[in-house]
Amino acid sequence: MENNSERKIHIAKHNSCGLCCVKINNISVKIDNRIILDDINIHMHCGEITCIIGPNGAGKSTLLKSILGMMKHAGSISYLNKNDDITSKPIIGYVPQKISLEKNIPISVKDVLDIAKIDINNNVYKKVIDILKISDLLNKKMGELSGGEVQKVLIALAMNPFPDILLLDEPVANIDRIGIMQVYKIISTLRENFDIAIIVVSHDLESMYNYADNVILMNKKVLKQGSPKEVYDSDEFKKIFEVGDINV
Amino acid sequence: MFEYEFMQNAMILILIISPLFGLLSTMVLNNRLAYFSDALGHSAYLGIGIGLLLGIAINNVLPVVIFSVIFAVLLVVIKRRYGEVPDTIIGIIASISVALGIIILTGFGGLQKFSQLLVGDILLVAQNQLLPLAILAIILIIIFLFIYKKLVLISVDESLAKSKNISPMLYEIIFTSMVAITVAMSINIVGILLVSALFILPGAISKMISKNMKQYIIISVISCIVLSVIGLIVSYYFSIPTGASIVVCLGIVYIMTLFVVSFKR
Repeated sequence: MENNSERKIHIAKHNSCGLCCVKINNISVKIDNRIILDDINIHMHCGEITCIIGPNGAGKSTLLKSILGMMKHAGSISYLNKNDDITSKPIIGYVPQKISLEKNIPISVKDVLDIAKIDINNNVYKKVIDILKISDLLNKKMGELSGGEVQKVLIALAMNPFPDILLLDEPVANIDRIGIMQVYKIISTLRENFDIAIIVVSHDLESMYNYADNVILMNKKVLKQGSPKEVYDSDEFKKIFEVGDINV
Repeated sequence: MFEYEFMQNAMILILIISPLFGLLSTMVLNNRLAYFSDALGHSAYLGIGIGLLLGIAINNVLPVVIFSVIFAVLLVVIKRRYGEVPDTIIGIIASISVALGIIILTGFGGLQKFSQLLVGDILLVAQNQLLPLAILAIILIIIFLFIYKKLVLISVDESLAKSKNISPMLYEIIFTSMVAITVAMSINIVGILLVSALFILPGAISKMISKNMKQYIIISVISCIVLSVIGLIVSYYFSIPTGASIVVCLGIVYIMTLFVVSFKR
C-alpha cells in the first residue's frame, strides 16, 4: 500500500510523460515442438495505445498470457520508468474479456471493488471511477450489468495495484455499438490522464484504426507494426484480412 | 426433549455444522461446485469402509475426513491438469468410491447395518467427538473468512485472479478440502444421501433475496442455523431422520421464498 501511495504522487505530477517504456524482447513460445510465437518484439511508451491484431490462431492470447507471466516463454519483458530504472517486472493490470460469474449471484460492483482493495475515497481512484463513470453502478449486482458496464468495472479492477501496463483482451467482444464507443473513449481518457502503456487485443479493426497509436499485425510472428494507416495499407494486412475474407 | 443426552449431542452438533454449511454454501454456488459436493458425499462411503478395515468405529469421522480430503485434492488436480471434463471425472471417481465402499461394508456383516449412514442417525453422534468437531469448525470458519474474497475474484474470472497472483488451483484445493471436511463432520447426522443439499439450499435461499455479498453470506448462515434447529426439533416429534427433516425445512423455505420473489416481480 505504501508503495502505491508513493506512486500516486508521480501519477499526479506527470500526465502521460511518454518517457516510460515497455520492451517485449524476443518472446517465443513452443508447445510440443509447435511454434506458437516466434520471436516477438514490441516496444511501447506510456500514454500509447498499442493494438494487437491478427487472424484466429495467430497466438494473440498466448502473447497476452506470456506478458502476464502465465505461460512459459523464452525472451523477456522489461520496463524502463522515467528515472531510467529498469525493472523486469512491470505491474500489469489485466482486463479479461467477460466475467464467468453466474447472473443471479448477489455480488455487487462495490463488493468486487472492495475485494480488489480499490478505495473509492482515494484521490487517484476517485479519478479512475470518474473517468469510468461507474459511481452509479456501485450497488448493482455484477450479473445485472450490461456488457459495456461489466467492461468498465473490469477496467477498474485492473487499476490496483496501479499498473504500468494495462492489458485488455478483446474488450468489446460482448458489447453493442454504443458501448464499444464508450469503452474506447474511456481507454483514451485513461491514457491521457495516467502514465500507462495500454495494450489492446481486438478484432474490431475499424475502431482500432481510430483509437490506436500503434498497430501490431501478427500471425505467430510480427508481420507488420506501425501507425494504423501504415499497417492497414500494407500488403501483409491485405493478405491476411482481405484474402482471408474471400476464402470464407 | 433435551432431557435426553442424544438430543443434547445432536443439537450441539447441529449448532457446530450448520453455520459451516451456510458459509460454504455461498461459495459452492458461486464457484459452481454443487455437483462436486454431491460426489464428495458419496465418496465418504469408501472412507467409512476403509476406516472399518482399519478397525476404526463406524461413527468415527477421522477416516472419512482423511479420505474425503484426499479425494477432493485428487479431483481438483486431475481437473486442472486434464482440462474441462470435470463432470465425467467426478462421476467416475465418485461411483468407483461408492462401489468399493459397498463391497467393503458388505464384508462387514451386511449393508443393512450401514444403511443408517445413508440417511444419518442422531444416535451415532458421539459426545466425545463434539469438542474436536467444534474446534475444527472454528478453524474452518476462520479459514473461510480469510479466503472467500479470493474465491469471489476467482469466480469473476480465473485469469483476472491469476494476474493478481491468486492461484485458482490452490484456493480450489483449500475450499474443496473444507467442503470435504464438512461432509465428513456431518455424515452421522445428515447422512450421505442428503449432505449435498445442505451445500446448495442455504445459499440458494439467500441468493434470491440478497443484494450484496455481506447479505448473501449472513442470510445464508442464519437461515441454515435456524432451519437446521427447526429440522432437528421436527424430526424428534415426528420420529423421522434428522437429515431429511432439515432438508425438507430448507426446501419449504426455498420454495416459499421463490414464490414470494417471483410474485413481487
